[in-house]
Amino acid sequence: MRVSILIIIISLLGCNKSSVVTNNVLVYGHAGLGFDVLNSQYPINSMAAIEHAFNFYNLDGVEVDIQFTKDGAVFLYHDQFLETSTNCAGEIYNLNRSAIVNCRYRKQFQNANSPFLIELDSLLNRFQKNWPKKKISLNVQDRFASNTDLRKLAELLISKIKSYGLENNCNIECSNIDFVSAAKTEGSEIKSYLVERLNNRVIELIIKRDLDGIVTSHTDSDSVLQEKLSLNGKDVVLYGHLIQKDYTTSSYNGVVALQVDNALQALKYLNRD
Amino acid sequence: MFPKIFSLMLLLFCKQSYAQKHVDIIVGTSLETNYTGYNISLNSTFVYSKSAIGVGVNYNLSDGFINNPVIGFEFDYKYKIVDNKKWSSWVGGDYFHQKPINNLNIDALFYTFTQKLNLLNNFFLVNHLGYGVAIESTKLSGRKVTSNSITGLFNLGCEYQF
Repeated sequence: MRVSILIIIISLLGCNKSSVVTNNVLVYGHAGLGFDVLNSQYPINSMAAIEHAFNFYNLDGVEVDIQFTKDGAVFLYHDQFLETSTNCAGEIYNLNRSAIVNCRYRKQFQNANSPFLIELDSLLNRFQKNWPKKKISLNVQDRFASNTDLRKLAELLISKIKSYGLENNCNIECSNIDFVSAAKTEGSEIKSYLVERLNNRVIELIIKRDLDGIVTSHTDSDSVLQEKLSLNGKDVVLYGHLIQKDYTTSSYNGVVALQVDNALQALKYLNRD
Repeated sequence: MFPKIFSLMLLLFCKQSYAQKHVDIIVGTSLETNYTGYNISLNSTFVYSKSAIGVGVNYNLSDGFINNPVIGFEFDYKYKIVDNKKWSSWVGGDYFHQKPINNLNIDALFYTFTQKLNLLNNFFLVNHLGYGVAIESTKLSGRKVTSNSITGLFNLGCEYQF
C-alpha cells in the first residue's frame, strides 16, 4: 500500500503546474496535427491531419510546410527529398508539377483522405469553403533552385492567397529573410514572419526589414528579447513544445501563437476546455 | 453505453459473489501507456472463482496539468486461464475512457492478456498487455464525428489482495 501511495505522489510531482498565460495566444497544429512521428495518426501536412486538428481539437489554425516546383506550382511537403515519405524521388524545386501531382505518401502514411500530396490551391479552396474563420500559417521551406527570382515567387504566393480572399487568415513564414521581405513588400496586409533563432542580431534585422515578427523554438524563448520585439510591435510565435515542462518554462511575452505537436496538451495548458 | 452495461455486470457479479461468500477483493495501482499517453491508474477488483471484474480511475500524465487535469475511468473483465502457486495468467477485456476537453471523448476497448506474479503473501506484480481500438468522438455542428485507430496498451503495476 505504501508503495502505491509513493508511486502516486511521484507521478503527481512529475506533472507541471500550469501558469497563467494570456487567453489571446492562438493554437496552431504544427504541420497539421503535429510532428509526433511515433504517435502520428496521419502524415504531416496532410488533409486528414488538418481535418482532425479542426474537427476534433478545434484548433485556431494550422501551420503547413510548402515548397515551390520548378514551374511555379506549390505543394505541401516538409522534407527535402520526396523519397523520405512518398513513392516519388527527388527535390520538389527540381521537378515540375506533373512529376509531383501523382506522388503518394508511402503505405504507412496512407489513409482514405490523403494519399496524394496536397497542392496549395486545393488547401486554400478547402479553407475558403469549410474553415473561413480558421488561420493558416504557410511555412515556405528555404529550398529554391539557384537563380530563382524570390520576389516573383513571393508575388505568386501572395496572389494565390488573395485570389481565395484569405489575406486575413494567412501568415507567411520562412527562414530565408529575402523571401520574407519580398512577401512583406508584395502583400503588406499578410503577416510575414522570419523563422530564426531569437537573438539581438535577428531582432535588429526584423525591425530593419519591417517584418511582422519571428517564429522561433521554445528553447530560445527569452522574456527580455521577446519584450523588446513586443515593444516594437512585432509578434512572437513559439514552436517545438514536446513535454509539459516546455510549456511551464517558456516565456509568453509578446507571444501571439503556439505551433504545437500535442494539441491536447496545449489546450489543457491554456485552459481551452 | 459501455459504462452502463459494465455497471450492470459489476452489480450482478458482486451480488452473486457476495451470496456465494467466495469473493476476493484486490486493490492495485499501475502505470499504463496507451493511445492517450502515459497514465496512472487506481483499481479495485472483485474475484469470484476464475472471473475477475474491476473498476478504476486513471490520471493522464502526458496531457494534463495539475490545475487542469485529464482524469478518466476504466472497467475490465478477466478470466483466469492458468493458475500456479507463484503466478497466474488471465485473458479478458478492458474499457478505458477519458474526456480531455469538453467536446472530445476518447474511448478505448482492448483485448488483454495479464500475468500476475505472487511476490509476497498477498502482494502481486502485474503485467497487462492489450490490443484494441481507440475511438475519438466529438460533435461537429451538432453531428457526431468519430475517428478510430488500432492501438495497444502496456501496463505494469502492483496489487494487494485482502
